[in-house]
Amino acid sequence: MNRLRALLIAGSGALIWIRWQRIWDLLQAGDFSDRMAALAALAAPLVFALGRLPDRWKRARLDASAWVVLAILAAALLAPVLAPYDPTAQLDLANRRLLPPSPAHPLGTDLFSRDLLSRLLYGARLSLWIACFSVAIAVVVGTGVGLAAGYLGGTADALIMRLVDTALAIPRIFLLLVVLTLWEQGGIMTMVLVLGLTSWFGTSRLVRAEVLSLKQRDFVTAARALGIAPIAILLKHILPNALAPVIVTATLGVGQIVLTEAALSYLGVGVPPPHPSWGSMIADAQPFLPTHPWMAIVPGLALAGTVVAFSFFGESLQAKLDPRRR
Amino acid sequence: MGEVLAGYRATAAARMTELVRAESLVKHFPSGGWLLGRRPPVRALNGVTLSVLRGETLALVGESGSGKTTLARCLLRLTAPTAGRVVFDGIDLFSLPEPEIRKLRRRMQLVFQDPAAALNPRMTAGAAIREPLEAHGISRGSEAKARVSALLAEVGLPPGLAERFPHELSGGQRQRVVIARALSLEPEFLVLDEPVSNLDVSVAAQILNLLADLQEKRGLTYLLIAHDLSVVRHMASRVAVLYAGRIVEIGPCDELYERPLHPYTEALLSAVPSPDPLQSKRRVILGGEPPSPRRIPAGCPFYGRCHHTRRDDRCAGELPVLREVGSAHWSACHYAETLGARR
Repeated sequence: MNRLRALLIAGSGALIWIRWQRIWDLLQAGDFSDRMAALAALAAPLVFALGRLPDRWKRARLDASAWVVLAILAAALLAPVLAPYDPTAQLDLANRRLLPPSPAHPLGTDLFSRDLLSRLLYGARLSLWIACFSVAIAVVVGTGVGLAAGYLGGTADALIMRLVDTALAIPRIFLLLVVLTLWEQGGIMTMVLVLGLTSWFGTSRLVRAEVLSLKQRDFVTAARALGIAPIAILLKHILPNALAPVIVTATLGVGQIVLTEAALSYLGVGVPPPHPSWGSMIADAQPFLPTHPWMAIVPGLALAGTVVAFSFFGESLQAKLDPRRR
Repeated sequence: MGEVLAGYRATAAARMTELVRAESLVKHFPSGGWLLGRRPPVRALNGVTLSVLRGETLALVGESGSGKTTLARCLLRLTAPTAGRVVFDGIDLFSLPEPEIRKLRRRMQLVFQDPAAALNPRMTAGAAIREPLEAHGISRGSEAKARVSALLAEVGLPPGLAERFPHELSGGQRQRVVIARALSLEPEFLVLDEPVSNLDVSVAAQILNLLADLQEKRGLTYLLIAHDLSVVRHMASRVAVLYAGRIVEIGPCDELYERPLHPYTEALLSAVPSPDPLQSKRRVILGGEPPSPRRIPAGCPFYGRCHHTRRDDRCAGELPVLREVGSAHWSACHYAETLGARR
């Protein structure tokens, strides 16, 4: 653990040393997320040096998938610091188009002479930002609906669940295409909302099932016998015990939504250009597949790697959150 | 059911000091399946009338599925009966609105069979005991903390245990926490639903002694559900025997153990191992199974398994009602007297 700590301190220190000028610029004249990235880069060595993990986390022991997920999240967060160029800047349309990988452009450049490594990193930031916000919306809405259905029971439950069944019967990608085509100029926020509001159905079913089984458990009966108010039973006894599977599906959902967003961007209704997105990068690379295969392969690998990492992380979380296996 | 009620009336003296009374309680659980025709409901309770007297320990015995737990849950208004009333200290429980009943819950509490399941896995022992104190506005803040320590001490646990989660406690410690939580509201009536059947023998003995001490100190009234008959003999002042959702015999503990007046009770008692190897006992081995709670026969529910020598057509056709066969000793057998005489 100490060697790892030393490595993390050295790595984050080196990053500040190498990219000091960039960090300074970001702090001076960047938007909110740029400044956050710069501050995170500056704080990292300090956090690694002084930070103490809570005992509960230490015991959990991070496995490989957790490290990969953390690395992806760090790369996304620090994109402004790590990326060598502005991802939307057309550097030199005359001489620097479609360059192969080189020290100046580690992953080459695209048709508009934009640096592909920068686009990949910023693409990760945008994709994960969209995915995390959508999942947050889905978890909040799904948990609320599931709690209501499971706890109220009877007619309310039947009504809510039939609505959910109906929504689940509509193919999601079709629904997304229709909505995003209707609100074409809505921008990224619309996309986050639409993705979030179409992915809570599964969560609500899961929470409802948990609530139904928890309602029968002795400790809930005990709470009733003790005269605890129903709302307190719901929030203090049922909700915390129903949350573990929700956390797991949320993690899996991040991977899913990254994939969906890439598909939508590939189809041209997702992230609007010139914002970088892995899906649109693959779409842009399509004409050059025979001559410049790395242009499609690199974002494709990043996409696949992220989805796989989140899936494995979700599964390991499932094992860790199960009290019987702790 | 009406006949049972008519047949069994608590004596006037008993009613003076009774704390809880069940009046011809019936509980049927409907069966699902509207698509392919309904199956008959599960008849868990079929007209149970009984009184629990102040300060006594009334034991409820019977095999699995005889309705013990359903009866206990009805007495605490955790399950609504299909018919019948529950009267707690003169108050009809099922006529009260929900907010009123929450206040009444301070006076009656429940101890569970499986203490691991009865505690919220994400709440410390201290938080579990403290929650009812705060919910009922009994005490808050540092005062509540002191109450928790006092309650833990009362059930024989060190105050440091308040910080532990249920999975960090042993089975016996968990059951003590469950008891402390029930006591936090200072109830008069405690339902003990098989409080020691999930514990080791030595731990079980400690818990039983603790319960006996608490009863003496606080003047508690217990309804003890058990299927270990030696536990019942140790704890109970009266015993009620449940069979297929009906009380088949009820009487003072010693008398019922010495002279059972229902063949089912006799069979149950003969299954208790005797510590004296020289004492030879006639072991009654019951054939068959209790009747399915979906299809209870018309006559005596025990008819199919009865070993009574006088068993006849009357038993097959006519439901025996509870009748007084000794002093405060009631049996629901047509031929209770001859059962006692033959032995």
